Amino acid sequence: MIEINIAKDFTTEPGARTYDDGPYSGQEFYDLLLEPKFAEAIKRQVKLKIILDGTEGFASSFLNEAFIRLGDKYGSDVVWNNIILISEEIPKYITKVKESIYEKRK
Amino acid sequence: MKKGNNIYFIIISFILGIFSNYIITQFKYFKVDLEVNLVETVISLITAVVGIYIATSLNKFHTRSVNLHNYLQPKLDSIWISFTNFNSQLVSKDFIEISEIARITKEFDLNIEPLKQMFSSFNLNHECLNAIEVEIESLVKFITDNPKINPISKNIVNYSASSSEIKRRTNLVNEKFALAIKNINNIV
Repeated sequence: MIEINIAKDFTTEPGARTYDDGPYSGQEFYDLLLEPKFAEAIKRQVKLKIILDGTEGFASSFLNEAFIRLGDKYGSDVVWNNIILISEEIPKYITKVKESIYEKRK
Repeated sequence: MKKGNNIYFIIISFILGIFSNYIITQFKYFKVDLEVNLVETVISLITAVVGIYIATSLNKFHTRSVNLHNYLQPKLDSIWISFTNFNSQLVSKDFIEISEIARITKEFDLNIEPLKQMFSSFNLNHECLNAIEVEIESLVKFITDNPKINPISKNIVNYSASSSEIKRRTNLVNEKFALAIKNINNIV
């Protein structure tokens, strides 16, 4: 299993949606960590574990941008069936991520 | 009232109840029959016991409701106070850092979730708490995810163009808090 711990591997203070909004955006997270690690997980046929705990909190746009991109690129079902989300502090982040994966960009 | 005093009060009420019941059942044309009628006395006793049972059950229910109210209200109050502070922060400036708004939202989520669980465990409908959650999410999303109205630069949102809309939305949140407080007060 491949693991991403957002607080340890990326930042404890995630930003907003895109590069234009500032550092540590959802887009940056997608480009630097989420997409490469997911591609590796698919290649090695293992699941990608994503730990959402430990940050100062997420703006909804951060999670939405990162996971909507992943869903767009690999297909919603493929993404959902190949990730394991850990969010013990705020369980509803898991619902937010799932909604983003299945959301189609307008 | 102390527990000991309560027991004496119940015993005295019990005896007075039996006595008055007996007198009333024996009252015929202004004459008091001093003979004891066994059947009527037993009925009086049963009536008094049932009365005491109902009174103590109601008292227990009332005490439970008051305790529940006293437990839940301060918790909701503290969440409302946090929101009021957040609101003051929004009013006093026309910009806010994304990390700050994310931190406040996470703190709110961490506090509201246990309160919802408490509502559920006491078989109370937590729809009023869901409504607060929905309005706060909507407010935060409006501030942080509307770049055309509220531009973000270096992770700082400038919401100077939408202060009236933010005020309208914060008022909606306050309305939901007031409704939730009303629901908690209705427990008693």
